[in-house]
Amino acid sequence: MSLVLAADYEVRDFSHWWDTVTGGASKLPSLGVHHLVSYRSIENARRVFVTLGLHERGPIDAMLRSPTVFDWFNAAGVEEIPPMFVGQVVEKFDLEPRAEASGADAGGAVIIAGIVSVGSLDQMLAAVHADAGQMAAAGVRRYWTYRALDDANEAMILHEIATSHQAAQWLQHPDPAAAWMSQTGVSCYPPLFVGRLHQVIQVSAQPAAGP
Amino acid sequence: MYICLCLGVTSGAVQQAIQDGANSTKKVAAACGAGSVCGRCRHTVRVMLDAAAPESDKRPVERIRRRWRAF
Repeated sequence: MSLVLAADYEVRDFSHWWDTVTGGASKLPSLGVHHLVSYRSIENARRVFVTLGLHERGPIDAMLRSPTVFDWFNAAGVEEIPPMFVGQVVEKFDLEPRAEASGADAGGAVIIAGIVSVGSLDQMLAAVHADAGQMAAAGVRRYWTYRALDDANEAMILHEIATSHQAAQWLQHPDPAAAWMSQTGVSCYPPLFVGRLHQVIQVSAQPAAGP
Repeated sequence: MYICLCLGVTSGAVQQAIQDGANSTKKVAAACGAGSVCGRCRHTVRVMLDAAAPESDKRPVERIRRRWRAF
């Protein structure tokens, strides 16, 4: 089973940060990373949301405290280590198949992401399925849900909305299935992230050898 | 959420320490370890302490809402 790590934080200089990410990409296979996805906020050009796909190879604690992880933040000038979400995918729900997608392409689509305590993740997913038609009509194309390893009711939710206009409408009048958006930014959870896909890096096709 | 990467301390463990009476970063570190090694997660621990504090004890909003960033 693949794991996903995610962090939401600000960088001093986006271009410099991205240079350090790509420059350090060669070290990522040693952590078991198979891909990296970066998103950039459309509200704050220095805010990034990064997800790492990992081959599950051993205790997550050992991976988190590895020098490579700290080097990553050090190189980008990030002093305060942000909270890290670690979880597994529960569902990738496509409301509009890619072949039928209309409007903006994925690069122009808006990603709305949040990490929250949802109470009951199963109930939330049931609501998403029940409201799928309305969500698709509002421009929601994909709805990805991940469950935290350390808390069964903690979720990372990313949804992709076709256009900026539809995203703005969605943020002002979300469907009840997206009520979790109002609960972001509480305690250690970051505020709602609204941005666009920046880059996807495929790090390696095969699991890296163990340490 | 993993708060302290050095020791793999989760938000649940930090929250439990706060519920058990830890009301400062030092007390949280003593209770669960978060912030006791490199100290770079103390900002998050402070945010969690503020969120759990009674309204009268909360710090100014602009300090609480400061995001994790490169300064």
